[in-house]
Amino acid sequence: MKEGKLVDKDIKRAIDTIQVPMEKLDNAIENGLKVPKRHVKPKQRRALTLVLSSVVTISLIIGLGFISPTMARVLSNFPLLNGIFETIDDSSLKVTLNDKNSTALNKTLTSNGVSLTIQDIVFDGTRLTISYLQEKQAEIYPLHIEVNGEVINSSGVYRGEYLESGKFVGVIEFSPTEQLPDDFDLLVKIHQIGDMVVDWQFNTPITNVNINSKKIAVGQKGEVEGIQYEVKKLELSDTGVSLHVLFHTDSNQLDKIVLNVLDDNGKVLPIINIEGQGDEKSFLFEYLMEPIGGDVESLTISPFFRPSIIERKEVTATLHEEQLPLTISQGKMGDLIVTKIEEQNGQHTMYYKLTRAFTFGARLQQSYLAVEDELGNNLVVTDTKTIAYNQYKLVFTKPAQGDIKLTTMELPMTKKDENAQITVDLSKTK
Amino acid sequence: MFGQSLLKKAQKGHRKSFLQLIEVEKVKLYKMAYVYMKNENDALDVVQETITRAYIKIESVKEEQYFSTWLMRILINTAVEMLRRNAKVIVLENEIGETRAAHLPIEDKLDLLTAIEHLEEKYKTVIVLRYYQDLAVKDIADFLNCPEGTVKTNLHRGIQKLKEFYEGGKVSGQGY
Repeated sequence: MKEGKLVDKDIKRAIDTIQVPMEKLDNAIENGLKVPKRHVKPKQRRALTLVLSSVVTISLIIGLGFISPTMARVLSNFPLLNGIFETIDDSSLKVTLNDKNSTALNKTLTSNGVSLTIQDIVFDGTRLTISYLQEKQAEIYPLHIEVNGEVINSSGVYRGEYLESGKFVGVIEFSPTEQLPDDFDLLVKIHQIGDMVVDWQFNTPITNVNINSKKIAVGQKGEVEGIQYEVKKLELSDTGVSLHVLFHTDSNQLDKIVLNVLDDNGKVLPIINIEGQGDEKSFLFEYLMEPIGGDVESLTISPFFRPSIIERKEVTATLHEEQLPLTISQGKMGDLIVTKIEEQNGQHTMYYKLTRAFTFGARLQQSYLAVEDELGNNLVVTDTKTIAYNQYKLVFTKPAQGDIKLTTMELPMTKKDENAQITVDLSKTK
Repeated sequence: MFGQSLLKKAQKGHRKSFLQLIEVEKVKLYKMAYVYMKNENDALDVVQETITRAYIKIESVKEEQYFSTWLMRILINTAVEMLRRNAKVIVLENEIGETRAAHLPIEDKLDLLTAIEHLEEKYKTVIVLRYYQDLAVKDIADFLNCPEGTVKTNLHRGIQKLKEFYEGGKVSGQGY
């Protein structure tokens, strides 16, 4: 077989050779049925899936804020990196790291020509966040974390983007599964970066930063498409807006609910994370959004129903820089118009807008746009970001040869349900 | 139909009916999980988590004919999620060697199953869906929510990568 012809049946046959431990498998199935209530941690998926699948899965792709003033100070010492903050629009950690308890490590680890500079580490009571700088993006894994000498379990999210200098700046955010003390010694070991096996470690004392959290009155009730919902928690802090909403519905309907939170200027708060838990009758969503400024007088919780796509219709166009604007129809939801392309340090930034008067998410969760070469390779380097109302940008690399293909899809007609909205007055809490 | 009534019963909370539906799929579920996780314990964990998620969301299956594909989608999502979690968060000492090994150059002595297991996630997924689950390219595109062209490209490249282990062999696994 090794030197022979590879056919479909060989693949099937190869998989069928896997031995099945039947007794253990039956036990696993039994155990799987023992959990009456579930805590579902969302997973990272491409933007397209947001149109079709559970709102729970929206979460991690939407990312988190990752540039800090501490980091800004450090990076400003590097002439090449001046001005990077104009390109970065996230804000949640900017505020956090103003705290004197944030740790500016600025330690560079190097071996075999590969290096990684650890910049800031901040712990805000729930999130442990490490920011770092690389000459070129290479995945960091696996990571081993100890708190006061003990290994901790946590879920982690990696985000980052290329700076104009060509360096890559990123953040690893951990949400430990257990409560960490306010002060602790942190040990981080890195065993692999890119394809290179390394043996790096660093340790540092960490202190919980003060995030000035403020609880806002809860209990407000609303209804979206016949589904009752209730605000169970609304908390503002320097690091984010935490909103818990209980929907009284079965899981079948949850896939269709999208929730935006808008400030009094109609700006949608970017979501950092969404988690959910529930059973057949009700489901609690826990949203974490970027912090709001002190001048925001009210927040509006705006849930709406996203219609199912019965038949997916893809629309593909070829991008020619000299023939802009390029208009691509998304059906009833209007047009997607590419307005300009800018090139800097080999990266190309594509600016585009949507014509439909509809509040899409802060990072365009309700739409979908793939930028690929002729072979279908993904060219996107940095995901879509909002620059103004229904105006967006994304960064891509140009293929060495061949056309650039833009693929989107016709979107079902979606309307904002103003009757379903709840507005919370913040002025009395100041 | 027998299967259809089982689905309806399962959707009404009839545990035994749900188990009967799973009974038909369980071996395939395990083998798919194993292709992703490469070891028995993690594969069993993926199956267990898949069962839990499926049991909670069984009401969302419209027709019995979609049950198998729907279940497989949950399984693949669960496996990928677990792989990423394992790779990026905490790796216990005894797992480090295994992870390192996964990134070492693959020797041409690998058998086909090992070669499939070592494929990148995007290639592995389309290969198993096409050749183990017998899904058409269009169905895989629907399954993964990506353009058909991407599926074809990844199938082609996945097969090419497998072919590298069988130099001189003719690749016929491209019947889109």
